[in-house]
Amino acid sequence: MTLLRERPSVPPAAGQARLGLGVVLLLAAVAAVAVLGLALGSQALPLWEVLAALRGQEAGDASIIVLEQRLPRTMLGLLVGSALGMGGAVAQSLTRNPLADPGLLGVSAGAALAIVVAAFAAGVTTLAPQLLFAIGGAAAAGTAVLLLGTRTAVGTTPQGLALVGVAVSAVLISVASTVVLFDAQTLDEYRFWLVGSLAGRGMSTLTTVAPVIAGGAVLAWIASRALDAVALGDDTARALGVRLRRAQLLAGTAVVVLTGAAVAAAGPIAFIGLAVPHAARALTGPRTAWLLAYSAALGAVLLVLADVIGRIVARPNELQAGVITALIGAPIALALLRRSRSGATV
Amino acid sequence: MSGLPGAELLVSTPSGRLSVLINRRAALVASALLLVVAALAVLSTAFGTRWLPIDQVLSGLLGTADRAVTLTVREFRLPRTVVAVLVGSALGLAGALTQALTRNPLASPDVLGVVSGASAGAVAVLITAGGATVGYGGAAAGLSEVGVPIGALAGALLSAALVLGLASRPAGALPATQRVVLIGIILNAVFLGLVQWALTIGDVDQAAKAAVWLTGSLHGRGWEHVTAVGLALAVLLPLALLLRRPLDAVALGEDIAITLGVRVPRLRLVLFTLAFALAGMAVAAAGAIGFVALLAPPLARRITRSGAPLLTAALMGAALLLTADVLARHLVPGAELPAGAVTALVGAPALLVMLLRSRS
Amino acid sequence: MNVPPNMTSTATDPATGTTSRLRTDRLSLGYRPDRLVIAELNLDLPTGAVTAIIGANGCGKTTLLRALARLLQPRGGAVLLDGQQLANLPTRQVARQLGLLPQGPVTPDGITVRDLVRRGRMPHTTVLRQWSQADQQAVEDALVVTRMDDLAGQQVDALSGGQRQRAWLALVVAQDTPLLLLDEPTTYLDMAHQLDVLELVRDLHAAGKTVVMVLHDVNQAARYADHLIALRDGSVVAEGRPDEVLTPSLVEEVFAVRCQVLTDPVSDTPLVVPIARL
Repeated sequence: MTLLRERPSVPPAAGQARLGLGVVLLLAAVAAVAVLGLALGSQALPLWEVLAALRGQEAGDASIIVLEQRLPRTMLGLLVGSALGMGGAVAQSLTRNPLADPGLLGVSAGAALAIVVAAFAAGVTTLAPQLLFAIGGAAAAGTAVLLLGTRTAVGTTPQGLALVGVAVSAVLISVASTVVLFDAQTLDEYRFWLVGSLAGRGMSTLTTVAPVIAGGAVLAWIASRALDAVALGDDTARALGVRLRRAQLLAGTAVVVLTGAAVAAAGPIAFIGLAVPHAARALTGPRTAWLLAYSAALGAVLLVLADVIGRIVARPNELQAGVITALIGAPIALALLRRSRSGATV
Repeated sequence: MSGLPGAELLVSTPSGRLSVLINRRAALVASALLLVVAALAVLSTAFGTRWLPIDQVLSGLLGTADRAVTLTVREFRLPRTVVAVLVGSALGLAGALTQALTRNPLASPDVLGVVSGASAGAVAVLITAGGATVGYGGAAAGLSEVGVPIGALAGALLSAALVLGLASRPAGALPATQRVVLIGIILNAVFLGLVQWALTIGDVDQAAKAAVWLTGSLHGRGWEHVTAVGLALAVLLPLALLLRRPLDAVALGEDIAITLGVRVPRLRLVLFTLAFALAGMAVAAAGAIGFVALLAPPLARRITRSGAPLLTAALMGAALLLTADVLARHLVPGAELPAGAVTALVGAPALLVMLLRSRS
Repeated sequence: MNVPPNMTSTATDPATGTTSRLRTDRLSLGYRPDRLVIAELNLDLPTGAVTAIIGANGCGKTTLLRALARLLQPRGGAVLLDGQQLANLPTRQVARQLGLLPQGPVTPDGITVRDLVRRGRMPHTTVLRQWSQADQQAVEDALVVTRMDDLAGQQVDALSGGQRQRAWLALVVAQDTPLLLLDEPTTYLDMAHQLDVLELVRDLHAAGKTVVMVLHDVNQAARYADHLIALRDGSVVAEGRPDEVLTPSLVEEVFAVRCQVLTDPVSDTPLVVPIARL
């Protein structure tokens, strides 16, 4: 018999074994996509050349392309993609809101503004200090949006929170745009960065960002158990013994670190934080730890795929990964909308 | 005329066959705002690279001053001022309509995809047409000059059609109005992505021009802009006012509105289309000026202390934009900021204050 | 899936002898494409009576009411008003016949009681003729009937829950419709306010209106309704006078609760005393 009030349909809790198998499959997908990332591009390289280059045996053009351009780029894509996926998963669990994409919630915009201000006011152009600014900006913006969302009348519905996030993002981006108007050189760098791209980032970017993202992932993982309880509501979570403020702080920091690092490395990239956790949740059910793992893997796959598509579609030029995720992310997000029961649960 | 208990004033013919309810306070406020707008308009015409005393402004208008002053007033400052009034009104009205319909003070065309769609169209033209004009909006009639507003309008229409079209198909259990909001947010992100991509295609100068347009500026707006926006407003404003009553019913909830006899789906389509058209025209004329559509309606609500004032929101929008434009010309000595920069810098904290003060 | 309905204008209910303006004909309702909440329901709502629809959570009461109020499109069959399909009638015309008080209505900010009640006159006003003496009178009458006349100038969101409910009721009363649909009008109200609302329903009935209400509390339904409709899983298990419908075996069937049925000493209607769940 149908219920009058529709209960959200939660997929049956998948067995541990099945989930583990899923992770293995996903890792295989990650590896496959990575290979694609190394092989394809403005110039398609046959597989054996790629493998030879990796093993250090080739010394020609292929070696340069693979080792110096595509390897760091692909690895960065995997890293940033997984950071975005995990950031989105934590944000959605933390706010109990299926629309909580750090991009939508103003976190990316905060990082963007911080980077612009740092470049313009303090002449900061190297990655390491930029990272700090980005994370700081992300933290400030994210906190502002979450506070506004939970303390005001408009932010209590999922759509309301998204609107708060969009409004705050618009504010931050317009301030950033205004600042940028004053200096042609900053504008020139900013506009390429703003679109979200993996191009032109070298190994140094990778090595700077990797530990930060790893740290964020650890924070997220630690917060995951508490988030399982938070999903049931603040009161229930407290009743279950969770130190709510501490859990929120931990999770919030994870989101900010992951997103800030991703944005600092590759610019603001849309939709991965929104769509990936939904797809992951359909496979894993609500358990946050597994959700994190799946989101990380799916995010990595998605971003590298977007990057590869961008490289192929407009040969010999490139479409940046951020444009591709914007274009394909929208139909995915819309399809998710169509499938959702109500605005509040998925 | 007879007073009713409460805030309304009834104006009717003796037979009673024709009668109109007017909210007393709203009418007062609207009249006051009209005066404020007029005063600001005069101020705006007086300000510029050099300050013109009021009597010169007036004689410039009448054509009795010397040629230079008359030219300045009639060809540059007056059209700019009028455009500010019209664009501000259009934005204020558009925001009032969407906010009333969605019952959410944050849902303005700014964030629902229309403005970013228009931006995408405009920037596409700007980048592909190349640097055919001199300066920002340009006084020279290059291809960009004509093409950009058309591109913006096309972008606005396309995005509005997309948002409304996609929202017309059912999506889970989501009510229709919320669908519009969500789809608008998603498409907004897509268009912004396209805009950002377009900015990377051309050279820095083109990007700079595009960036200024995106911020929104009234520089160099002439009589052709006045005609375009003026026509749109002349048609769409009365239409919106006619739909006031059903809009009031929707404010009580869509269920009640249907019960009271309102054809809600049709009303929703008409009002969103109106709002998007107004916003599209405004953006086509002056670029993506932000925050006016967002902030004018709540401010109007606060002073009239009534539900969803439409005319007052329009007037408030005009006042806000005029003020922003005057400030833009004088905040930085020697330089002229785009008006959109001022609305952003002032609008941002205003938005935050507004959000913080809304009841939890 | 649309089944053409019978075209008789009003049906005389052989049991009560009253005619029904509002009927359903093989009505099927559902929210999701694969499941129906209500299937092929035939129902007559007696004119001039107070009808209460009762049943356990999820039996379809509110879904049915929403369909009667034309807020939900039928998946099959139809709701008929005076013999015509509700969906085919102009919505304004229906608005003059049928009023609805939904559950938990949300009040917009900054509106006074009088302003709120005034909006109930929408179906009677047009763009050109926005107000008339009759409208004014209807509003004032509605305020008096619901005892909100001295609160008329207050902001609605400053009122208590019970007062706010009365304000919304005043809106529906001002709408001046012969048929009234109320969706759980007493839920979330305290005892005094519940009685307030129910006594008002009784007054409206005395004035000749037809009331159909979804009620959670079976004993309230017994006391204040002339006609009960008990739903389970989307179909009618029993309908009729409260003393006919509320028997221990029926309560078991509808609510899965073992009970004893006494007589309410105040109103001489059935009083259901639950013993244990089944």
